[in-house]
Amino acid sequence: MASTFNPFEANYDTINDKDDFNIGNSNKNYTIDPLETEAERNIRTRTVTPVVTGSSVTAFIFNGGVILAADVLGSYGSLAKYRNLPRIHQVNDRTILALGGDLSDADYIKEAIDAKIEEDLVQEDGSEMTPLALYAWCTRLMYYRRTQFNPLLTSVVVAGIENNEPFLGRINDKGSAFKEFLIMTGIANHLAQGWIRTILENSNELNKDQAERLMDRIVKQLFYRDCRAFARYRVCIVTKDGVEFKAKEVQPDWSLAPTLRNTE
Amino acid sequence: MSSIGSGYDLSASQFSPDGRVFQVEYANKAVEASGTVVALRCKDGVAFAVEKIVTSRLYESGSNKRIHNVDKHIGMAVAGLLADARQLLSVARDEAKQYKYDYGVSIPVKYLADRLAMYMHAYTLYGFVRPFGCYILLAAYESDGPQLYGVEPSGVTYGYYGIAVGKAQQTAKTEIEKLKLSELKLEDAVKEAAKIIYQVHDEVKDRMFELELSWVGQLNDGKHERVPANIFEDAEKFAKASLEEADDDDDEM
Repeated sequence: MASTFNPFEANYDTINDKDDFNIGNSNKNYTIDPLETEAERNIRTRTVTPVVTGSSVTAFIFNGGVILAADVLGSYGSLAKYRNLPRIHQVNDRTILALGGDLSDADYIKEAIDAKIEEDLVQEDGSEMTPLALYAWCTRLMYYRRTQFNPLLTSVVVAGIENNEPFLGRINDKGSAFKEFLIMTGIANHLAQGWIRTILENSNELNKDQAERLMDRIVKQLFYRDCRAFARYRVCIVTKDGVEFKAKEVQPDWSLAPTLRNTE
Repeated sequence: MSSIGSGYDLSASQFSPDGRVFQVEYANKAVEASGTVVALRCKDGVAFAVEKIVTSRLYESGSNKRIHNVDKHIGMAVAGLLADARQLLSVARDEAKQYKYDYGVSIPVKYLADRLAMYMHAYTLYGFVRPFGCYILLAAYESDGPQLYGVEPSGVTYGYYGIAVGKAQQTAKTEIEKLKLSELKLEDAVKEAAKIIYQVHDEVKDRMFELELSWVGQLNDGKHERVPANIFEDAEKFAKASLEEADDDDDEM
């Protein structure tokens, strides 16, 4: 504004375009500038908003294993841009990794884990990555990035068989991690977790077929209600016998639509 | 055979008047003092056989292996100072990992050999480091067939059809030259390599040794691994049997 114009003051972005040699304001030699954090200095090189995102990941433990589901969509904002990006990855015979949120960060995490697995393989000592080890490692990674104010804007779901018991855990972009019998990331947290938790808590242990049918029902419900969902999805079932992937498509029933206002 | 450097051998940064770098030649001596390694590149794969000399019965068997995996598809066999080789193994693994990260595919063994050679060569240029006292053999089975490369302490690398390094390298080399490598199949190459090791092993000087065998080829889809237990037993039996045959021949004569 004209009234506040001061020709002796710097007229540029003094936070980001730092004047290291103090060329601009020599009369300020005596002032003490406040300490800047690494984060403030590197504001242009940090992740601040996700670009290509995956929607929710749903997972729960049943009697004998873990089941996960995630659709194969990479959304570019509201555009359904990449329609064949599987988000559930097999790490080894008993560990599964599922990722939701920013997908470039998800790729980074997956590639780091794959490199780690290969490194361990050549040692030839027979030791393998277990779900708990992967969960702990991902927690450290995500929390470290959080402390640098450069988070990986992804939710990581680790599932598998640990010590002959089913394992399921989730780490978010802040490095906050927990293990549970039911994990939902993204909007499924709000749309599905409540009623599924009630079902799972009040029923006896589900067997594999029941779990699969329940998962199909969850994904269908999310497809109805989540604006960034997609009909094609992958289901992954881990049991002591191994890992099984299935590609499915939601068969939605829109017959209710004409009876609702605003949909004609 | 040992030449006296007489003043020109104090560091790798010195040439002798006749143009030799003695430190590098001394590094080769370290290689020649180690147990023999035999590598055979046959029609459809590469086989490694290592004579791992065991100096005491108190050592746990299987310690200090001399055949390693660099990447899933590349095998490395070492002759010479094991501790030096361990560092080179670590460097090779890092190179392979970085290449995979940058280009998305496994590193071709020729490139790995070149990079390892450049690294080993760097240690022959300065006075404050010494050259690596080990000879590295790299093997893989790639899309254009089996490959075998050897890197010397001087940083020179060659591709080989068959090579022997270590104590009995001259004797083993003569034995290898008798084989028709381009017609040999991998299962037979493994047995032949084991046989050569048993033949050149010096019972008097080094009593105990452990045989290490590994292979990479079409039959295991290019994945380098130690040979399965049954193949190992067959190879050892074949090797010991041929030793007895040789003894019988000597007796007859």
